[in-house]
Amino acid sequence: MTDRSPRGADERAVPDDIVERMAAPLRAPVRFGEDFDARVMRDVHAAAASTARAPWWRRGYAVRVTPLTGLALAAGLALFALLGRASAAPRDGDTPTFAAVHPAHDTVYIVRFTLVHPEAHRVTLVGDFNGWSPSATPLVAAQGDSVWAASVTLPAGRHEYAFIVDGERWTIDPYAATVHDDFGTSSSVLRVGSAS
Amino acid sequence: MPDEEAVTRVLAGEVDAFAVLVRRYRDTFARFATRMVGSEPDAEDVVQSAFVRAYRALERCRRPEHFAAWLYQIVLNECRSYTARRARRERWYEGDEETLASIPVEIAPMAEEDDGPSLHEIQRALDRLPVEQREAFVLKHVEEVSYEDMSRITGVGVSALKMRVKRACARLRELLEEVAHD
Repeated sequence: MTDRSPRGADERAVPDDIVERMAAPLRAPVRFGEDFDARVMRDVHAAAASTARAPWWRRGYAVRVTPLTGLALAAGLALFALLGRASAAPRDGDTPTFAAVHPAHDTVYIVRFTLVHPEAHRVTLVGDFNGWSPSATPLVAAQGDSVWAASVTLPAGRHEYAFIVDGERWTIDPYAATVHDDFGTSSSVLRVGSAS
Repeated sequence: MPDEEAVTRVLAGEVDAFAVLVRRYRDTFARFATRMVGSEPDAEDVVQSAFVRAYRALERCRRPEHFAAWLYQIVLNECRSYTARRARRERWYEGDEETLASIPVEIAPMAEEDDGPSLHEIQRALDRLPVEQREAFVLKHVEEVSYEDMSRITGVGVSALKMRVKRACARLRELLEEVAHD
């Protein structure tokens, strides 16, 4: 981040008493609604129920990835996924991934996630849409077991996700934007629909 | 129950122990987030989301005795994300007279008798600061956090934070003087 104030004002220190007059009213207490704690704990219990509290799979792993294939899907009731260029071999036999979206309906989308990983024995998808559960969304092998794929119904909006290879390797999608969360983990970002 | 014990209990599966942490820190973050995002209802959403994110990531709170500082980072990031989303929304709405006309107008409270700036006026001025200056000012002069702790929370060096606070103070003063002359 950069500081963008006009330079002219930078060098003049504001006297302490004026700073105090500006700050003091802002120190007035703010109280949330009486049900705030209950609402937070309701969400916490929901998170506890949906998320396996196992830290091992959310630890970051350095994974080299190479490009491949994409494809996608459609939405509404009649939709279909198209796997394109699936036969393209990944460089170095590593782990290319791709997810793409074509909305055909304004509220329901099916997104097809793919991962090319010839050495993988098992691949699962984790994301905010399945509570980051490493067992909720397994990918199915195809293309001689080198391409793994799963279709997931998602609401419009922004979603974070990653793949888990062989139950232990956290793998981000090289074709998607990457975010680094507060806790040192990178995830991929997918935007579905027209919402940002 | 100290923070460290509450964190340990939650990690051991006692989910309700997290309520201790919510109760302990909600008011601190209620004020902080309200000053950062400029609206109490929005701040409520921000802090609720931050608590849930903190629960999900609790294993990564490597120093449970410093849970508050760790939670500060999460709340601050939520505030930043909210501010960025709002800025995008406002850009979309810019120039849309119909949409602008539909936004409720907040009624400013009457000025205080001592002729100093009102809370409403100061908050409006605070909202106009660049987010990095706003968070520096709020942490330093509202929450009265030390520069060393601010540096841990924001990841920004002490000297840069001091400059941000200084610039924030100067800019706030200018903005409030403009209001006073209107």
